[in-house]
Amino acid sequence: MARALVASLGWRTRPRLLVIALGLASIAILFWSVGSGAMAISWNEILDSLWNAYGREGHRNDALIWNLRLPRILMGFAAGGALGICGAALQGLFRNPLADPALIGVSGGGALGAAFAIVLGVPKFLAGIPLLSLYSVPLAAFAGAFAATALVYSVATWQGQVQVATLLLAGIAINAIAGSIIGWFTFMATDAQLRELSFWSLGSVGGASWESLAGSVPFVAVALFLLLFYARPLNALALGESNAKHMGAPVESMKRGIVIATALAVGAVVSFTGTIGFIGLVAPHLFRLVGGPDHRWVLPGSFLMGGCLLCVADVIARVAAIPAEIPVGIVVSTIGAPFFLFLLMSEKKRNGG
Amino acid sequence: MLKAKNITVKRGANTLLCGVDAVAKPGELLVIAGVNGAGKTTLLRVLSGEIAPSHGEVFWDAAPLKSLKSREMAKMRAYLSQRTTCAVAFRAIEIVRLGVEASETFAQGDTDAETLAIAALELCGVGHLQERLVDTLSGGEQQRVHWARVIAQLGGQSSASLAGKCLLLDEPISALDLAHQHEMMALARSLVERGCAVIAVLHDLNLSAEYGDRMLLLGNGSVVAEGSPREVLTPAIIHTAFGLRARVEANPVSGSPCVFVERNARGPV
Repeated sequence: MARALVASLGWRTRPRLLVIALGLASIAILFWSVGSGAMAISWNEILDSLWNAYGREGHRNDALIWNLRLPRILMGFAAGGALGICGAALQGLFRNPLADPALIGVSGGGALGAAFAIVLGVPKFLAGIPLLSLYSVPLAAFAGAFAATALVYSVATWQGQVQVATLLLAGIAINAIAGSIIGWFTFMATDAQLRELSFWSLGSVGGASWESLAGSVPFVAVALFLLLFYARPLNALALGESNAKHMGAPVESMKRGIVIATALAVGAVVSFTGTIGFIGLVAPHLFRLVGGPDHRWVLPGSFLMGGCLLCVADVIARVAAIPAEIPVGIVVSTIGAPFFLFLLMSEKKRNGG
Repeated sequence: MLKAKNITVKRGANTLLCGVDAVAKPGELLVIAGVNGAGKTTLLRVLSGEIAPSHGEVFWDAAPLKSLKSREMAKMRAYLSQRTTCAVAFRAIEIVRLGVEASETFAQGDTDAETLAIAALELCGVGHLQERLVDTLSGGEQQRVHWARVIAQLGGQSSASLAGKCLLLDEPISALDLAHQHEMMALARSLVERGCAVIAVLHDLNLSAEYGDRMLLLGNGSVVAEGSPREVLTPAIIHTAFGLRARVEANPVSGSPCVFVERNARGPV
């Protein structure tokens, strides 16, 4: 029935409605996530705490909501959103629905940076700088993500032009190199470091705080703003680079802009959450299934879709094994991958092939 | 308006074009012809500014092409490539809307852009296919949808003058049947009458003679002959350019030169 309803809407209406629906769903999911967890909180209590917490002491939900749940939920939404919109932009750039932020080295570089910081620690000559030891892992991960992406980008640049096919291959090569070095770190690590390392690679928003939000959300906001400007040029790029150029699309600056936005936004969130795969691939795909391929809707839609997906996954991660908490990366891949496969198969059946 | 001077293009050890001059004039249809690999598409891409020549320079009016912004060029010059693949599942009207958006002539509203796109589709005889996904269309239908896109980019679907605009067509009728070949060439002709400069790469010499004002015959990266179809289409030049024995008669229907080719008895040599 849902499918018939969707089909009865015109293809022009569907993407607009879906973006609006996702916007409303985002708000609902954010509220629902605040209330869910090892200790359930009712909507009234949530609203009370949101409006009245400032300046009062000792109310039982305030600390839980403001210090633990809100930061992690907002971090989850920002991370999912960043992965979603960057995935959509990269799929447009590569003209390939299989592209994903991991492809240009962001995730591999981030993981390498994190492994470096976890296993080797802060170098002695930097140890005196305040906050550095506290945030050594995210800082190293962010630096690694950015450095790896910059390396991939410079390998693919020739005479001022970026070869998109080389960008893809260079990304695979850099990811492989990062993987091999991580392997060496894993081999060198102590048992405690090993545990930290593997938890980082599973991904979790559990460690989020207002400080980590302040360190990542600005990057996500800048990337969101920048990428939304590329909606029309990305549409033109669907006809190939030369056609896009003939239609006046700023192809070269767009390549640069998308890669930089991805390195900043995904690098910033992944450095705090650890590797979270799959959302960047699936969120744009889910949107296009109903909303069609026009990037003016796919880009904002993938942001909202990615945010919703990761928030829901995080709720499941928190409540599925109370009192333990499952890393959200496992939840995303455990539920997301089979669901994605199911969608692909039902899509195949519907198209009669 | 669009003028290429002494163009040489080298790619590695290969010289694709060597000292070629070409001019597009308002209200004129220039046909570029020649054997496979003669450099026709390369010349068109140089004229569009897509590739920079190794030597020589292209001018738009008096300004060097490379000094002009691609977004400004897109309002004055459109390019129809040999084959266009679309990476995503766009509908015909969405493809043409890309051309409308590139022209930047519409008020920022979807309905305006769509009205202009529909007019362009109808001009190209594919108005009834506007809602269809492009990859479900036949090759010829797709080619006409892209015709509609480039015409929309120049604003050719309205009745305004096309003076100062230039349309570059690379084998624009390669997927079309006989009737649609003539239909689209007549459409190109009507754009020319409204002041547009059109350059088309064509393989059909008789269609070139029928619809073209001037011909540029390329061979092995250089100009073999240039002039009116009557001057270019002679048995001697055809033999030089294509290695074929041919007779040229007046087309009994239209009076344009018409090429009759002696059958090749040997195959490739």
